[in-house]
Amino acid sequence: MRRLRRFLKSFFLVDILRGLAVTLRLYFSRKVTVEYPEKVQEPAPRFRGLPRLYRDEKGEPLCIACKLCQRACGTNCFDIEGKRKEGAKFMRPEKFDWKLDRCTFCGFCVEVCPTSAIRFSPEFRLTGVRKDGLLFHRDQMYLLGDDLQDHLCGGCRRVP
Amino acid sequence: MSEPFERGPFLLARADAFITWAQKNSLWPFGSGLACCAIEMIATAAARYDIARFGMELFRASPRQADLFIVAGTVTNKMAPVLRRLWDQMPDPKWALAMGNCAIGGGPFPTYSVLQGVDRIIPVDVYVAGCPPTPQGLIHGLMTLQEKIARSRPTKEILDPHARRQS
Repeated sequence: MRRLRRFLKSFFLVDILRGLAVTLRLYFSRKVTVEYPEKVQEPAPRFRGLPRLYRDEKGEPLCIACKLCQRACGTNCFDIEGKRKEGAKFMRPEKFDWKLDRCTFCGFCVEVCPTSAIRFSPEFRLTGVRKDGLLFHRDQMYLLGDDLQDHLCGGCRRVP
Repeated sequence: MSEPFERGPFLLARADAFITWAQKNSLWPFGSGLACCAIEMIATAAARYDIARFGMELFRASPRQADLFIVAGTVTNKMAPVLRRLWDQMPDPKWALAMGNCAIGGGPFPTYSVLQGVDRIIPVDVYVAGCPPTPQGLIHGLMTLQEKIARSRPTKEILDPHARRQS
């Protein structure tokens, strides 16, 4: 009897039909795939994207070259040199080198910054075809969007 | 298959466009997940991000069946010769993608035991930075690689064996 049941079960492909039933059920259920290039999943509000320097509302840079981020950084990403111009109120960075390929996105620099100059941006597209795009100098730390992509890939997108 | 006229003689350019079209849409990755980046790589292959949409769903366990070498994670000096052998075992045409800051340049480990960048042992085509890169970031990197493949000239390599793959 058991042998007959096993024979019938394999003869009528019961297990395969059962599996196909699961497939069919999921075929009509809600789709979970985020179709990335057409539809971008918005990063969470606290998402740690690429750290960027920001300016205030008047367009003045917020960074005062206090080097706290350099001290807090666990992997020595930063190389900062500041200078105060004659009559200026604050120091400003003359040199602000930041190595993306050392960063662990730990957020210590963001946490420690007294003027909130360095913050996480929502940028997650960090692809380069050359390694030198992963070193950021002072003015490149302000880049966002398409300019940032151009810097990361070394301008490769402009080449046909 | 875009702009075939700008890329040399008509027949060769047509052949180039067709070959690169086929190559870029059927990249079979060899995922060498060495550290935490592997988790994001697996998430990219799973249902939510689903790189099967790009024809890349077949993560091969054997390098002989793969076109794309995704180095995901920290490469230690002890692992480096193994990766080099796996790369040598892959048949041409092949591409390499360094995923995550560790694979790109050692990341947070500038120490004696970690290889400072996988490009010291294999020629890397695309660097995907991040610690780790998000699945969408990896897909962006794979699309950049597709663009790079679309710009390459495979017939030139056949006619002139000394010509390097153009970026």
